[in-house]
Amino acid sequence: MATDLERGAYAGKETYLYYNSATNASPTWVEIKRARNVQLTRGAATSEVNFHGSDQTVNIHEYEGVSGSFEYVRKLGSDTVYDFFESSRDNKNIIELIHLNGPETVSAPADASEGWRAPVILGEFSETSNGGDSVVVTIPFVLADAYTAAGAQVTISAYTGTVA
Amino acid sequence: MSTPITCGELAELANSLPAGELKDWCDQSASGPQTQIVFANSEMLSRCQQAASSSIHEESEPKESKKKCKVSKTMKDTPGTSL
Repeated sequence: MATDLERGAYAGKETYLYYNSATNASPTWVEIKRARNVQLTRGAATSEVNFHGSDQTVNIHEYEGVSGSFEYVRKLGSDTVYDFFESSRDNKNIIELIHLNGPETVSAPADASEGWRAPVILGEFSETSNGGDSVVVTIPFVLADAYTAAGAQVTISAYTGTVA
Repeated sequence: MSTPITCGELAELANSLPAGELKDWCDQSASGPQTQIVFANSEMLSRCQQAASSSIHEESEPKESKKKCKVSKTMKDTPGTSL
């Protein structure tokens, strides 16, 4: 075996999505095990500009946006994770998500997992119940206008997990 | 930094804490099934554990001090009786 070779690509199912059940300052991350198909759109949209002196249509950047969605496979019986999302949607709470390329906490000498952390609000849930397919809810999210009690703005940022 | 801990353990910790910020944090963090593993803020967790252990000490200390008072009373009473 070539022990000095490492794998490059990683699959979606190897990624981990968590929500914060405690506070922004002292978070407690709860894994969303039944999530799948996590999507994130991030960056500035572009806008076309035309004027007499240019033969080409040129572009400028608009505001940067952060939005995404994930699917959640519903579970029969009690499901505290889904309860959290329903309550956050109904109460219009700001929640925090992290999405990493591995577990939040890994054992040394493994490299820490990396990904993003963002305060988000949830949009309209879309639940599909179809024939023999499992019941799945699509949960959309967008970046929240979030501040700490001290007045510091909280936005999307890179997140590095813990090496225990 | 975060530490893996179960919601059950966090709930137990919350029960041993007096009302306040630390107890609130534990209660919030422990929202889930007992066996569910969550990744809690290490610094906050150790503050809670310290607070829980010191609150146990505080509970036991008054009992000892009460005993000491009783002893000192007897000591005072004894010379009085002999006179």
